[in-house]
Amino acid sequence: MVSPELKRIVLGQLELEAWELDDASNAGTVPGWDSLSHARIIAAVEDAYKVRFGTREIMKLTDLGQLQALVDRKTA
Amino acid sequence: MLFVDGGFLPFLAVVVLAVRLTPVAWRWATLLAASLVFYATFGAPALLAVLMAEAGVAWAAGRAMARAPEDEARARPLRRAIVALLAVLVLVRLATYGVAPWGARVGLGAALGVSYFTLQAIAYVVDVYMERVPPAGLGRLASALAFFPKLVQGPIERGPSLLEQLRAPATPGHAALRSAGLLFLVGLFKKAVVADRLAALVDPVYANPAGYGGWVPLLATYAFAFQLYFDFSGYTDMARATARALGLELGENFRAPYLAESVSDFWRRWHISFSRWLLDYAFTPLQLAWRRHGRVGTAAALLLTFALSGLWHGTAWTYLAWGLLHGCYLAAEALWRGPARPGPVRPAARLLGVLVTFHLVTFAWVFFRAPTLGAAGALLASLLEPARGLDRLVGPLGPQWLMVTLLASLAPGLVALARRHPAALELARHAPLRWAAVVALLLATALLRQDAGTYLYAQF
Repeated sequence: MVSPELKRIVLGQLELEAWELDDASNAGTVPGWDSLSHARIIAAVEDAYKVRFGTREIMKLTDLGQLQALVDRKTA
Repeated sequence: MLFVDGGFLPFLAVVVLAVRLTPVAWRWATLLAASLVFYATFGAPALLAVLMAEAGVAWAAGRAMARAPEDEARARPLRRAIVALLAVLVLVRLATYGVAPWGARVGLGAALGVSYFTLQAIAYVVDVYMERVPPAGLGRLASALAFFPKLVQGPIERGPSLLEQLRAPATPGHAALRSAGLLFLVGLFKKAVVADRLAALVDPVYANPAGYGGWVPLLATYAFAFQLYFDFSGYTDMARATARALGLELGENFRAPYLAESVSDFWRRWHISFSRWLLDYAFTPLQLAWRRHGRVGTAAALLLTFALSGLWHGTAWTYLAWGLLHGCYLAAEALWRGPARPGPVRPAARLLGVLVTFHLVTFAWVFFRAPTLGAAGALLASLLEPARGLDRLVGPLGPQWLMVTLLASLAPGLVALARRHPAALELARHAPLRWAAVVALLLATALLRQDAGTYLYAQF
């Protein structure tokens, strides 16, 4: 389940005011979420949660649900 | 042996038969044997050794990573394998460029195929490291790297696609064989009729830019943009058709690239397997490493990625300039482009995007095609001069030749457009009409082909 905080960060980085985000959301389903904005989203998530992800951890992510799970693991 | 050589189709027929007679679980072995025979026909035994050595390196790294208990232990074989594979690529390139004198002694006259299977091998070890694919057996991995339809010029198959298909290649039925035959014929038409005819408008101008001026070198440059597209996409069609006849599907490499509305859109449509490789294995790791620098980090990652892309094509300054130009285009897009908005884009804006993108890409092709930076500069300078040299360029070819070439160049696009129309699809249901179209294509290819005997992208 994607938290409202994570949704807010993603929408903020994509400069989208309103877009339905769920566990399956990814670059293919959300406008503006491409390879260029992906790194910005990751950096913003790291700043907001005060965590650091490894390159391998980031490259294995395939959707927003997995990003949420990674954040939960890092902040647990 | 090239796809357009007379011996290729008989060779393919024998391989199709041999694969059919082989039990499904062992078809990878028949395909590996056929691929090695195909590669051996280029008369460079050292390349066979390079291919098998790379397969061995990638296989050993995959096994080591599978056995490693934790991340750091998995990273070590990955790093070693990437360094070894890149070192092999650089050594082969040096040998074939004549920089290393031992190249000729071991029979390395050309690096045919090495750049392609090396990228595929790197993708395999990274994918195993990322746990996107399980480690493969040596035989199946070697068969995937060597698979002859895509050996010389791609597409660069990676990830589970080809490896999984080689576990149990399908037995193609009549429909698959018919579709393969038609795709091969379309590819042959694009290559042997369109691309090789357009070469006659390009080669004289790029060989002597000082002899032409005004819109004549502009015409040659536009012609080169389309020559390269038809040459490479024609080859890819033939490669995909060959694979389909053997029961395997290769990825698409082109999707109407000159209709791209931005340079980043162009790279989603041009040489797709290579640009996906660059995105996944070069750009993304660099961009993520520099993510603290925001858009500037992304722009720097794009510049470096496309400089590497230029160098992959060759060590000449012209290739580096071509790669850097694309890096600059994309970096500018990354720095100044606003967020994408959902909803339709106005047709006029789309048309403007297509025109601007085509001309940016075509400007970069000048450096890609010119033999030296000086020649590229001379050609660009000649565009500003009064028109001259048209008679020398088109005079010997004649108006009939020009008309046929123009129609042949437009034909694939017109057919693609017509196929979107329901009435055309309805017509295509009638078998006699379908056969008439195939016979017309066959005749046109036989009567109008002008083989250059080589492929532009095989040199990379």
